[in-house]
Amino acid sequence: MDIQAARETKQELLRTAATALSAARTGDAGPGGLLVGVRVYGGGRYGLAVRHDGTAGAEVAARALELAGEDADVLDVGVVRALVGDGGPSTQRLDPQRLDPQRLDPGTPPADRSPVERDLAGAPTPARPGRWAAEVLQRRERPLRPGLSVAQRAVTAGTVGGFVARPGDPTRYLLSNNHVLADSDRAATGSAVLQPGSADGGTAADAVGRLSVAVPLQLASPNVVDAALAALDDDVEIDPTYPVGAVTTTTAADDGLLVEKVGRTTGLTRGAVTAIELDGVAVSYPSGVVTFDDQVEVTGADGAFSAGGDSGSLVYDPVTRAAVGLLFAGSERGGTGGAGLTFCNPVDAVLEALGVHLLAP
Amino acid sequence: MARRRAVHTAGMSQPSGDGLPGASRDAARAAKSRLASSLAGDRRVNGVGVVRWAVGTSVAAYGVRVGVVAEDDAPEVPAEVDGVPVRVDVVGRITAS
Repeated sequence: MDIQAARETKQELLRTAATALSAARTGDAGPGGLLVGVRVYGGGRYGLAVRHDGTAGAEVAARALELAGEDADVLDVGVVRALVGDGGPSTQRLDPQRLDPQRLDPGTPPADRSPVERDLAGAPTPARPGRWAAEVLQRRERPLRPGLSVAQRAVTAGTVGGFVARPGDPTRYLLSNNHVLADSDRAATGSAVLQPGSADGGTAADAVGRLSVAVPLQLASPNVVDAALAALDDDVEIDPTYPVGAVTTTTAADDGLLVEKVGRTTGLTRGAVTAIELDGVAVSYPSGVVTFDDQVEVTGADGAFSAGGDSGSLVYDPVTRAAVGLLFAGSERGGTGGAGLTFCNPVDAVLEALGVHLLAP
Repeated sequence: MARRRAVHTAGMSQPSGDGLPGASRDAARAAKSRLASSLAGDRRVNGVGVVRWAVGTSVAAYGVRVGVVAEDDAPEVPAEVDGVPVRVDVVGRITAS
């Protein structure tokens, strides 16, 4: 089925899920776990992705097969595990309360909803991005927020990944790539960083801070991060919130993890991690080819996940609101409809290399 | 070791693996490192990583993914390394964005 039919079928199935899970909670078997999404088969073909743990979720899974037939990808996955950024796995059972139909009511205050419920109840989405639309992110905006166009004065445009701080240091820093904030190691420390970037009309009058530090890009050995910090001017206000709210924790990527980002060129997009721990990734920069190890690959759910100018975007899990990676490169082939793939540095490596943590609102 | 018969488009549906089961993540990581070393310097290859390997209902199995720049100019890659399945996907050239 096409993407529109897949989305409509997903919504129909979720309506079924709310009913089935409500019924399940009144029984003795206990709640089941359930995930429903859009399955990307490629070549313009989409379907339903259903992951359940064999209890109440199995009934919903059967309904998925009725609705989508051969376009349904249904798996009994048992317990859903979240890999947290402290290096150890933590077991997180999908809570059907997160799909409670009463909490999906538009009258329910957003703060009372889980991330999944906010998504179902009208939070910004790629189809309804609101202030996270590309045309908005390319403007001069204050306070600063993630996703906005930004660049060192000699660079066209990249994206504000987020805001970070160091222990014992009162300075607020803007996080993005080295090739965005430091012009691939060619910019002098202290040089101006503009919002928006020059490609979007930014001038010296739009300076928001100064290049503070960049992790050098090595030509002779593999790199892990393409990252840099700009120290923000004291009078620049920031709003460290993303479409899903605050993102202050991190998680290790795993193949299949659904992710989201906001970036200057493609705005709010969603996709999934499709490969991890990629070594020997050869990336073309203006100065030559730079090799990276341990990279994360993301494929867009509906076309390209990113395009030129989205560099520096923070990629995060919209359900757990944990950061996953720092977007820095893209390929010309592969992915949904051949729109290309996106590559990210693992976020823990970025934060560790810079000695920083993500700021809360 | 058997040769790959097909080159997939990266980011598309997970392969059946020609019936090959996946391996643990640690085993896949080790196989990836070994294969990446053997392919190092080959400009036709762009990234060797770890992917989930879906066979039946198992989602805890992993394999190795070799990215190549072009489908019609890909190196010969084994179907498995130390018992870990391998697939080849086309990723093209990668540019800092």
